[in-house]
Amino acid sequence: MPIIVNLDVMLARRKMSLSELAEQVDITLSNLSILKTGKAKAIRFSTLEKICEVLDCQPADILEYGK
Amino acid sequence: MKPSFIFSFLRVATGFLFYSLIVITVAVIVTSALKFSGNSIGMAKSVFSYEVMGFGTNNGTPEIHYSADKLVQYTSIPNRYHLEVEPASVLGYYSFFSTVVNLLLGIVILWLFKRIFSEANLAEPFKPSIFKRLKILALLFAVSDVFKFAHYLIFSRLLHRSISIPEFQYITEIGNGIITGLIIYAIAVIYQRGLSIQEENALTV
Repeated sequence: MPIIVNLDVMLARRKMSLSELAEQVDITLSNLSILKTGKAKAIRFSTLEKICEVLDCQPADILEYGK
Repeated sequence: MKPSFIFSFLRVATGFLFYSLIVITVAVIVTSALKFSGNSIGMAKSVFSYEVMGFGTNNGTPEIHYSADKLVQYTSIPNRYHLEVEPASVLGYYSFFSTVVNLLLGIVILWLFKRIFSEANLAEPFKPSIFKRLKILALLFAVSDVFKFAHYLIFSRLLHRSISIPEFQYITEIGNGIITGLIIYAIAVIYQRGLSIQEENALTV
């Protein structure tokens, strides 16, 4: 899929673990893993909003379009 | 009526029909084997019987009858015959073969229905295995009609060898299987869409 998820990069920058993020965003760790590994088929605006809020970033910092 | 109750009922009903058909198939095979070997003491002479239409003879115009209130009219069907086939004959062996093939086809169809209903879960209704089984079911229903047509041709040909006049035509219904198969295939295609939506939903975070 040409959409690349840079969640691991943002987590490393914020020095935050995946489980911490899952807890703060209030979604399951397995769902967050699906997003992180690029297996997700869709992301809800509400989830994206919460992730951006917790990581203090823009959606473009998490999602990238690559050819 | 609750859907879970309907599913439970279908699970039990298909299971019962499946095992009943196995028993019937075994009984037919054993009975036929005894008849072929000539050890059919106390049994009816013939195992295989057919309803046929006869052509080439004229039995006159059938008499029309009426009910007392004249609201119902009824006539006998002319040129309709009941055939009984001797088991130890070409037609008998063929009848045995076609009966067993039909029964086995029925067993496979019922087994597939039984598996579908036992795997069906209302909490997670769409499963790839059920989609696969639905496609096989559609194919089997279509194949059953092909068998029926082949049986009609072969049986008429073999019968014509034994009896040339009247010319008998085996009475059978062809087309139901293909229609059922197409309906099941349409359901399978819709089910496949449901499956992809379920998968998409599961992978939406």
